[in-house]
Amino acid sequence: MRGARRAERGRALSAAAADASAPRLLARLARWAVGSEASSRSSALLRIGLALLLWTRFARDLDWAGALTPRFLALSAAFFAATTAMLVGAFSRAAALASAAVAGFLYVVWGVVRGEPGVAHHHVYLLVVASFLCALTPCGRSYSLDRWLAVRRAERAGAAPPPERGNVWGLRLLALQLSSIYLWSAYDKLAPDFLSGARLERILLWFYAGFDLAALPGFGPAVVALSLATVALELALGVGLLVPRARRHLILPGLAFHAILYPDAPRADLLGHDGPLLPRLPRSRRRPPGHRPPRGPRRRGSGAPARSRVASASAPRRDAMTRLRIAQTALLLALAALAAACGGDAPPEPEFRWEEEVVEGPEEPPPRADARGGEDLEAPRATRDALDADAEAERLERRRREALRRDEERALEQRRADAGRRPGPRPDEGARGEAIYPARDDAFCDERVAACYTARGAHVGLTEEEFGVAAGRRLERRLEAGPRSPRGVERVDGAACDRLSEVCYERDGASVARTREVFGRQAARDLAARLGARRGEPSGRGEAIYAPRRGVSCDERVAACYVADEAHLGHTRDEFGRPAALALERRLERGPRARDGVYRPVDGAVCDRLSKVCYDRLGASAAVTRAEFGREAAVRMAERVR
Amino acid sequence: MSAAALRGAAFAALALYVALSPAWHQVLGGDLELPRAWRMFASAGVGLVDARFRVREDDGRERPLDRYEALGIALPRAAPARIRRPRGAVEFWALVRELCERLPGADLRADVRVATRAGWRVVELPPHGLCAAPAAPNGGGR
Repeated sequence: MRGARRAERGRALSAAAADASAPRLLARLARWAVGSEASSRSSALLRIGLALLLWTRFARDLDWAGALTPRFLALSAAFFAATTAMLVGAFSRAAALASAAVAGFLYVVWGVVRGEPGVAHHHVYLLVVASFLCALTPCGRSYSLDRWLAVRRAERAGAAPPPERGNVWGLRLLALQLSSIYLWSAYDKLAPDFLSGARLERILLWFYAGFDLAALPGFGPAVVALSLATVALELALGVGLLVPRARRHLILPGLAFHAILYPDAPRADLLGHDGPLLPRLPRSRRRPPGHRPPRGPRRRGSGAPARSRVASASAPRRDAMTRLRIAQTALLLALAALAAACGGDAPPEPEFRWEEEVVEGPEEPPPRADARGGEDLEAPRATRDALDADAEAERLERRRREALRRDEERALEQRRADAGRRPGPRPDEGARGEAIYPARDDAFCDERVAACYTARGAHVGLTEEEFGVAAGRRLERRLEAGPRSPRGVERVDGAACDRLSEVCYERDGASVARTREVFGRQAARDLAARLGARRGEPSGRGEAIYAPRRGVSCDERVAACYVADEAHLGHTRDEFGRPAALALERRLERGPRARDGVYRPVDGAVCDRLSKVCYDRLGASAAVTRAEFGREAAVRMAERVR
Repeated sequence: MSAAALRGAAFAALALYVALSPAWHQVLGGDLELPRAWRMFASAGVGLVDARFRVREDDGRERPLDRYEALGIALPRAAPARIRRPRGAVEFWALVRELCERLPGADLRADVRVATRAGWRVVELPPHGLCAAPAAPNGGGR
């Protein structure tokens, strides 16, 4: 037996030597690249996994509830149609191509052009590339509607079912893509800062700030060892995954690497930090020209010969490989399904995403002492010089704070100007409140950050009720970012602590003692000052007149929404919360002749005496406003329309 | 051109793109979003200020200062990010100011290093205490 193996190996070696000439090598390479056939099942599993990943990443961004324009609806419809077809395997390859096109559009237009946070990310790019390459594989020949229909057609015709095999050049490209990711990632790490452990150390200190990691015994050497091991493993994966013999030894270390990384690095997503460990290419059986596979009894629905002693002496080994492949693809699918089930579309941005986030509405607390003037806090020259390398991050931060300050100043000036030139709401009337008030027995709301809480955590439903749907969504996004995010809500010893507002809530309300314990004296003092504050009016949160959706106009100044020729309580509640809807209802009850009444001047238009603005079915109307309240009111209205 | 040749040409083009396009960024220093570089976590933590505070006593001896304890924060992991991981000079000096306010008259010292893309860089601080006004205008103590 051993002698026979040696002889076989010798024959293989001599054949390889004979093949060593350049044209033959090229021919072998070409055969490997575009002339190999293999089972289509791995491609099919890949197709299904990619469709689930596309849903995980984009389904929420493209849901129809948020549709504002026909173009958005069309994009959303295209996305769901393409990815659903990809998942079930209807016109599989075309569906994969269409999915790649939609995802590519999102990457370029939303991500690169519009700069939506997290969209122009290399994980999204990889999804686009992988979906495109999937379209080049025989991904519809297994586990698909296409396959089911083909088998039915064959049965009706009395023919054998079509084989579950195909040319796997697309899988070869996917394999190259995967290796490329590992190799270029390793190349990036072959730098002194990584090899010395400095980069990994800063990453760990960043993610695990608050734990004194550096004080752990052996932390320094461990970081260096981990850095070197990471580079070695990535290099090995980059090269070894292309070599069938090395592959099986690398699959488990690779999976372990990503499995460790996933919970360790909070911003890694399902694709792993380096990219997906995609189901690897099955080792195709290279056949000389003219060779035909042995004809044996075929299993239903499969083009492969049934297992038999005739098939090959190495059948057990291939079986083991098949089991490994199945386990591997099953793992990917399980992970994808888990992520889809959990709605795990956590923003996959590893690089200071919180800095780049668009600050919306009242989420951001007023600048603290350190932000009152960035210039005031200028560091000594020695520090500045040393910090040159992170000047970009500094600039970002400073720009954000300046924008915040400018916004506040602008709002203040606007209020002053408004107060000076017109009767109506007083300058401070309706200004966003600072109060923390009980909304229910065990729930409390903070006007400053427009969010509600119980002792168990933040309460999105109540937030929507009190401050509107938009506030609820903002809170939801904060919660999705996790309790450890800079704007998260964390449970600390039976209390809910909001890092954004720096307030802790217990069963009976905001707790100064607990706030002091968690956020420090300054935060506790701030909270104590706010506890006596009166609730602000729902109106006056801003000055804008805007359209949250087609046909609806809302005015921040009076916290009311209008549709066609009437004030609309439902949209008002959605946009500004229940108190605003109640206030509007009271105004409507007082009748159209009241000082703050709402009335119809002509058919198809509605005017609000409180804001001195009129609307028709197209939105705020300068013509009707001028006719009802004069030219000055029309000009002021025009200034406020966004 | 036969289908096989077409497939071969397409394969070659795509393989070249897949294998070599990251060089545009990683070797040649391009900055477009297409093609992509494969750099993972390269920016995470850049700007992080790793500071170890000390208080110098009257007799010249120095003792380490736990910033969380000094600020009355019982759970460091729940502390605001500006305290746990100050980033950049502005946040660092704001933290120093908070500490100086909390420890009036203390001679606060620190070993500070900043994470940059090229590795850790030790920050040279003024030789006198951090709370001394001239060293950190408005950023130090009163």
